[in-house]
Amino acid sequence: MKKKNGMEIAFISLLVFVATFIMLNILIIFIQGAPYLREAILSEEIRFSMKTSFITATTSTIVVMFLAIPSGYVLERMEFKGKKIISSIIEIPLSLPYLVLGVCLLTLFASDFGKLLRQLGFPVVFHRNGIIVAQILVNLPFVISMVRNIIKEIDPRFEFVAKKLGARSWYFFYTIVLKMCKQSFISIALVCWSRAIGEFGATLMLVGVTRMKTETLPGSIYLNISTGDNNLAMASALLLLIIALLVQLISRYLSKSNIILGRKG
Amino acid sequence: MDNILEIENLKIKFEEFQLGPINLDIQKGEIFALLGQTGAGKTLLMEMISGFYKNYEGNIQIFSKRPIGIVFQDYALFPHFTVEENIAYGLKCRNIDKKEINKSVEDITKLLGIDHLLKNYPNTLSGGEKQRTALARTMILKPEILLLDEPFSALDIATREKIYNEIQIVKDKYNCTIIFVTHDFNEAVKLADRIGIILHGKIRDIVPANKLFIEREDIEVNEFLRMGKQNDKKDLFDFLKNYMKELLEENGLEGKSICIQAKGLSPEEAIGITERKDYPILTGQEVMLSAEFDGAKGQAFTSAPCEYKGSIQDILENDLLESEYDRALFIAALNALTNRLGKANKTIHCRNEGPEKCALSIREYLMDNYDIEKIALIGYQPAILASLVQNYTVRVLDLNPSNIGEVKSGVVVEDGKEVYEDILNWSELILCTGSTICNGSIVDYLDIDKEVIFFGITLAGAAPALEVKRLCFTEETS
Repeated sequence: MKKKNGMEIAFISLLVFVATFIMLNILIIFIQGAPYLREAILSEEIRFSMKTSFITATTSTIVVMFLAIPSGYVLERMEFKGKKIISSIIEIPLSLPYLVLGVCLLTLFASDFGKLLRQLGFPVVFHRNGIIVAQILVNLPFVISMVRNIIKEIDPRFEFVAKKLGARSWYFFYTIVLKMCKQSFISIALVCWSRAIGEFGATLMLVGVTRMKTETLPGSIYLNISTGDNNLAMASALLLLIIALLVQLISRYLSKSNIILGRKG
Repeated sequence: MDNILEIENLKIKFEEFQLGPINLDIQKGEIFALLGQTGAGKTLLMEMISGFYKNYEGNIQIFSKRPIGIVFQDYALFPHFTVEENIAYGLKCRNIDKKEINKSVEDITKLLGIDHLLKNYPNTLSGGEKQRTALARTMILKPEILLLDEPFSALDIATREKIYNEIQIVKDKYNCTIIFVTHDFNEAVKLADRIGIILHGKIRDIVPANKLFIEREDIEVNEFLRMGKQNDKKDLFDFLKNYMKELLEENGLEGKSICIQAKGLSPEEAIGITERKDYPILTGQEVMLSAEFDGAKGQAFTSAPCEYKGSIQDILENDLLESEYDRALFIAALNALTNRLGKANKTIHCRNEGPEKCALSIREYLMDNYDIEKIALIGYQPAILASLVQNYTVRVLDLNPSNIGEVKSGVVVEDGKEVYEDILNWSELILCTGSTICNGSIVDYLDIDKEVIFFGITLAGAAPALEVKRLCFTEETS
C-alpha cells in the first residue's frame, strides 16, 4: 500500500475520531439498555408505544409515498408556471426545526379547521392521528427530494421511446417509472418509515406525550427519563437503535441489488 | 415518387449551436443517410423528426399512417424488462391478444436471430444482440418510417455486415422508409440510396450514394470527405493489425520474438526476365519487397525502397497511415506469416513467362465465370491489359503520372482520381491490383456496390481477412 502523506494521515485520524465518537454513543445505549431489553419488551407501556409507533409510521409512510412519487415526478419532469415557487415552498420544512413545524401544525389544527375535522370524525390535536400528520409533514419534503433524485436518473428517452411505442401516460408511469424504480422506492419508503418511527419534535408540539394514549417509542424515552426510569428509557432507545440498524441493512441490500436506470455516461 | 417526409426551413437553437435552416424531402421507401462529423447536428435533426423536441421553427410534415419507429445509438432498452418484454411492449400498449403478441414476438425474433434470448435482460446482451432487440421492439409495430441513430457504431465489423443485411430484409418485409444517422462513409454508401452531408448544423449537399465522393465546389465538404477516406484507411489498417495479432495469439506466437527479414529485390530477382516494357519495377517506380518468416516468404510491391531486419512486434507498432514503407513492410510480413501458418498461398510473384501465363489464366477465368463486356482495370499491368483487350472493352486507371494519358495496348490510361465515379458507373466488373493496399487506395474498392476482383500477390495475406475475391495463378512457391 502507498505510504500516506501528512494530510491523509490527519484526515484519516479525524475520521477515526468521528467514528469512535459515534460508536461510543451507540455502545452506551447498548450497554445501558441491553440488560433491560427483555423487561422493556414485556412491559405493557413499551409494547403500546411500539404498536403506536409501528401503526403511525406505516400509515404515514404509505401516505407520504403516495404523495411524494407523483410530486417528485412532476417537479423533475414537467414544466409549468409557478414550478420554482412550488419547489421552494416544498423545500422550506427541510431547513426548519421540527418543533417549529409542530407549532405550525398545532396552530392549524387547533383552529376552526381542526375543530371541523374533529366533528367530521378525524381529531388531530392530542390524538394518535396527529402523530401521523406530524410524521407526514416532517418526512414529505425529504422524501420528495429523494424521489426527485431517482426520477432524475431515469433516461428521459425511456419515456420518449415508451410513448413512441404507444404507451399512454398512466401505462408508461406504471410500467417504466414505478416498475423500473421499484427497489429504489422501497428503499426510500424504508428510510421514511425509520424516520417516522424516530419522529418526536413535531409530534410533541401537536399531540403531546400522554402515557398509554399518544405514547410512541421516542415519547416513551422522554416520559421515562422525565420520571427517572432511566433503565426503561435506555431499553426503548436500544429498540430504536435496533430498528434503525435493521432498516439500514435492508436498505443497503436493496441498493446493492438495484437495477441500472439506463442513463448514459 | 411520393414524399413521406417534408422538412421546410427547420431551425432550432441550443445555446451556441444552431441547427438549420434545414430543407429536406424524403421519398417513400428510400434509405436516407444523414452523414456528418460528431457535433454536426445530425442526431439532433433526427430527434426532431422523431418528435423528441417540440420548440423549433419551421415545418416537419410526415405523411405516414403507421407509427414512426426510432432506435437510439445506445438502444434505450428498458433495463428492467427481458428481451421478450421489451419487444412486446408496443403491442401490450395496444391491448393486443396475448397469443397474437407471442406469435409476433416469435416471428420478429426469428427473423433477427434473437429467439434464443427472450428471457435475458438487456445488461446480459452483446452490442449486436441489443441492437437487434431494439430493432425488433420497433419493427414489431410495422412502422412506416424507421429512424436509426448511429445504430451500428458499437458493433464489430462482422456483426455490422450481418445487421446491414438484416436491415434490408426488415425494410423489404415491412415496406418502410429508413432514415439513419452515421459518421461512417462506408456505411452510408453501403446502406443508403441517398446521402445528406450535414456540417455545422446545415445540410450542405444531398447526393445519390454512388456520387458521394465527387469533387464539389464546397471546399469544406471536400475536406470532410477526404478526412473520411483517411478514417477508412485507418480502420482498414487497424483491422489488419488486429488480424495479425489474432493470428499470432491463435498460434501461440504472441510475445515470442519473431524475426522478419525484408529486402527490396532486384528486378531480376522479382520477375525474372527483364527484357520487357512498362513494368514499374523495371522503370524504378516500384520495388518488390520480400519478407521472410521461418522459411516462408511474402512479398509486396511498393514505391518506397527498404531493408529491414527486426521483430514482427515492432512492425505492428508502426503507424501504417504515416509511411508507405511501413505499410509495405507490414503487408509483406503478413503475407509471409499467413503463408507460414497455412492461411494464404501464392505469396511469391511469378517470374519469367509467369505474368503472361497468369494474365491468360485471369482472362480465361473471367470468360468462364462472367457474362460481361466492360471491365475496369485498376492499376496498369501490361500483361493483364494486353490479355483482356482481346475479349473485352477495357478502361485502365492508374495513379502514376507517367502512365496517365499514355496509350497502352490500344487503351488510354486514365487518371484514377479523376474518373473514379465514372468508372464505377461504366464498368460491369472491376479488376483491381492488390498493390492498392500499399498506398491505401484499396478502400475505394472495398464494400462497393460492384463486383470487384483483386489480382496479384500483395493482397495474399489480407484477402481472406477482408473477405475479398483474389485471383493469382503464380506457380512460384516459397
